Amino acid sequence: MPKLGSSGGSRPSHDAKARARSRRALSVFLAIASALLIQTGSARLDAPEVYAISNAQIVTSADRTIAKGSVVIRNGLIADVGENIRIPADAKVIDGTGLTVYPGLIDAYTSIGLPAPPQAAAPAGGGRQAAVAAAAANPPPPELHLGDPSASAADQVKPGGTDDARAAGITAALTSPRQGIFAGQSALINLAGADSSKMVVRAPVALTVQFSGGGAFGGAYPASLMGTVAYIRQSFYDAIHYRDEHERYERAKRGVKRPEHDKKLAALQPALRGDLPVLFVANSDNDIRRALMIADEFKLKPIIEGAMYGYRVADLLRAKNAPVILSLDFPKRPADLGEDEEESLRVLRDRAEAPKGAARLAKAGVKFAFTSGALRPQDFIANVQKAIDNGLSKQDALRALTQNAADILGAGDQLGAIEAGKIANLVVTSGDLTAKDTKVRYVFIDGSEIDLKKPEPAPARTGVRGPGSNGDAAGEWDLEVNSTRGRLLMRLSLKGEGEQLTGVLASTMGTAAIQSGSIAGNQIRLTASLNMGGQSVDLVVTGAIEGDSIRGGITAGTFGTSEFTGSRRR
Amino acid sequence: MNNHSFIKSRMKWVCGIVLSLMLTTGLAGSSLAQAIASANGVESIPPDSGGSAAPAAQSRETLIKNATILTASHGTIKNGSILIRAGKIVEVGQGVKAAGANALVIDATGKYVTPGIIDCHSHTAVEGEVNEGSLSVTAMVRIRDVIDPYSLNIYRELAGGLTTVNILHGSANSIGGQNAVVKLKQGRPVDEWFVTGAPPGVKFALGENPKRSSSQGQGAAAAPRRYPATRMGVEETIRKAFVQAKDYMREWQDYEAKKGADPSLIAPRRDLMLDALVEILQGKRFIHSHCYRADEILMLLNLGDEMGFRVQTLQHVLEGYKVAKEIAAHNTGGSTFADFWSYKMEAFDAIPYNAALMTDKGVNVSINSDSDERARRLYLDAAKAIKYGGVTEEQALRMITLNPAMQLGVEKRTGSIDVGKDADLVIFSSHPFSVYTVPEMTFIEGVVYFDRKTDIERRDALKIEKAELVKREREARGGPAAAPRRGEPVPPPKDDERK
Repeated sequence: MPKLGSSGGSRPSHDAKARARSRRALSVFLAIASALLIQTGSARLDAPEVYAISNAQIVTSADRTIAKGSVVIRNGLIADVGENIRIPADAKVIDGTGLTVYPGLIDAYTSIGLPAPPQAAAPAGGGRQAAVAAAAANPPPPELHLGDPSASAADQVKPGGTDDARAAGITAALTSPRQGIFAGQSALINLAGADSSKMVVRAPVALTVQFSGGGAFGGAYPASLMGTVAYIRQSFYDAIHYRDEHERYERAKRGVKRPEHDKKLAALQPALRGDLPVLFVANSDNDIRRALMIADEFKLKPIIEGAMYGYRVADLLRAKNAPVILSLDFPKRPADLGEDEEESLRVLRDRAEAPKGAARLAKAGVKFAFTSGALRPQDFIANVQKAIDNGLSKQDALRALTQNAADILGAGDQLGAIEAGKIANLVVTSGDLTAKDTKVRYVFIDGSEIDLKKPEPAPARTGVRGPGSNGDAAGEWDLEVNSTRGRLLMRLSLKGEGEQLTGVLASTMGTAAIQSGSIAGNQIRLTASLNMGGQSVDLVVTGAIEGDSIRGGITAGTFGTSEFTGSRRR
Repeated sequence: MNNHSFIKSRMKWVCGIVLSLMLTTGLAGSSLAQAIASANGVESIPPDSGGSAAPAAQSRETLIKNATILTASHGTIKNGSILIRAGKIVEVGQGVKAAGANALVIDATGKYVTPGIIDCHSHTAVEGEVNEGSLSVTAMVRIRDVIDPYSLNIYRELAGGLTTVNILHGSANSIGGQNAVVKLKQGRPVDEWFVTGAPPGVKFALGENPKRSSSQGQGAAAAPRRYPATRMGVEETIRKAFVQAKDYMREWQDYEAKKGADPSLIAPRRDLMLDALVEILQGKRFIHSHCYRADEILMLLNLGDEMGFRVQTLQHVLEGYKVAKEIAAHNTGGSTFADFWSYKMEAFDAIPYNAALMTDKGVNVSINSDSDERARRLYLDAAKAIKYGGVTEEQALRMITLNPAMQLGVEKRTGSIDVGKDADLVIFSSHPFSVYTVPEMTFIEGVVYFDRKTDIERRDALKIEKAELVKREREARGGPAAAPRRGEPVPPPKDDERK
């Protein structure tokens, strides 16, 4: 049901249908209001959601804490905050004694709510060689490999799948398409709302660009890292020419051949103008240098995402004034490595140093937010604590999770602090935000209390088992993955214990132990790290089980997401 | 995982296209490379930018004294000294004294000093694929974008006296990508590695590699081949690219000529691939062309005459001895192997006299590695030119110093021990052409980037550091904190033995 009071105070909706709905709702409201006019003071059907959290410690921002005070939420916004503020009579009051209120946390790079990208048709059977031949004869659409800068997360995002994040106190996230070099335009979403029109806080936020190292089947250009860099540069030069052609046409149309419309080159224009930041997925310092070089060449506004080894170039990041969305998905010893297998000192050093990266960026004066990467939300928060244990101040950690994230994502006026007028995204905890035994008690998103126990209605493909009872995922699964490089076969061996899943994912690329695995209802989520010659590629497997069949998606590092189907051996 | 299976599995995942190419071009000896690397005695890791041992940006004033100096340009100086100031050689000869009291003085009595060694054909420290194998003309891709400064091979090369390398795109394409001429300043930001003033270049390739690059699979499963599939097609691919480049050049020249008079004109579309080819036509960019056979060498030289480009170096050029006069007449250099041949049909006519015979006919000749393994002992490969071809010691030394410097257009800065040049130097324990010699120190612009003594001293500390890190991780995992296993060799790296 549309909330009547939200049209004025909340963010503007660009959806004409939503406006029509609210006009209809407004007339209904007027009718009801006139009928109920004499009953003011009692509960009203149309009452805005009003909450007050009283007697709580309120961490309004990384820099200010109110030892004991109250927050009032009305119409989705923070109405008031302070020590001695008036609690409105119509507020639902939550006694915050012993609790701490924080600004809602922001996960600054995810693909929450976005569908798996379309896949090339793979031949049924015949193995890899047939797949090669088929791909060469019938090449996959270039978008799989090159991406599409006009792809919009805001157009595609759907609700659902956010229970774990919200239970960890994450209330908003940047969500970005992940397929191809120019993956598309990201959106800042609140992790609640019936559809994209209610979820999107701001869009587009940035253009996502990734240095995909791999080539497409059939040998499409670019098939190397250096080719990818050249492709990105050429695309921006093409966008410059496109701009020039269209500007000339705008000046004088008569007698001039009309330039072609190209949605991809048109989509690069805001980035070229500096209106839309370009988010480069770059973990290594090599990738970061490449990204900053490209940003310099085309005067782009870069955001560096990942930045696992960004601390090695902290001064460069500071000098270029490039904000960072730092991954806390710290490198781990590959799970398939035997206990006695040796690794190089460099690898060991990198693993020991990575958790200190946040502290080093802070010291260098680099502005950064955090991204969960492939981590489960609860592990994400645990790794914030790990960064704190490795020298990051609590204030800087909170800033990264709140105000910095909001600023970097262009929503500094809307999110990131508990201030009157900002969007009412709040987390109420039993204690220190990142401490191990702290419990999240309440979460508010857009001023609505989020039910932390009951999962949201699952999107489209729901399983045979209802939410609440966990399905049985144990067994040997044969998976058929529709990758951009053709059909791949994988074997997934799973053992289950309550919500926890353990096991092994095997393929021709190697065998990886499941690092974290969970099942909720019929939905499984697994992470694994595949060691490919010293380079680890993070895999995230999500899927829905129906009886003895399974379907879902595998995200492999920056290679994008591939859909899979599979069946259980009996 | 051994190197071969790593490459295979990576191929499956990343890109099948270059597998056959890698197996035929330069992969030979890569597992050997690892074996030799461990036997080389250089097992420790280089200082990285995060460590305290990172080399300084600016050199100390340094005096190397009492050495036998092989200048590569003006003979041998016995009991000689070299004074280095601000990264440059400021004095060379007998009786040179250090001016400053704080100067670093190295007594090199009984030792030999040579110019820093230059490898005119390398694929070292390339991140990702070394070939952009999707197309046969890829002059838009740049090696400079993908240099991995952390590659362990760089340190091994420094330990072999290498200071400057020409990092080339692979040989899968008729016209490959842009090369990078770098000094191996490991530990310094990679932006400082590029030799300023070095003319840019593009890798070309003739023969087997470009013509069979896309063949994969067998029989019905074979993917269609990429054009070109014959030597004729390679020639035509290169000709066509330059025809296109000339059109593009004219388009820009027209624009530049008319834009003042007609403000409504807009600049033509900038094409990064054609930009590079235009620079070749304008003489601003070098061609370094992979080749083996005499017929294809003549084809490229003639095509250059027809289209108006000059070939700066012929790489490998194994049959260069058959057409040395023609090569010399084109003022083209030859960069060859010492004694590596018969690894494929088109390499059957290679002979170890090639370097000497081409030198006799007036070709500027260098001896290159094309290998992270041979790159560590180019001084021994140069010595082979004396054994097989009877060149002089200085001629042989020039093949890995001054001659490649000239081929890369950096001879004003490096390649010989002369006043005013960069202090790129190697101190050898004995004569560099002795099989018993060991490079002891390597200087780039006066800064020590390898010091065997320091390396040996650091090994124990590094082993302890490693054991400590392993122990801490095991404790964190809750596993048994096994005793550190001292004295075990560090395994060779898995990630940077690439071609």
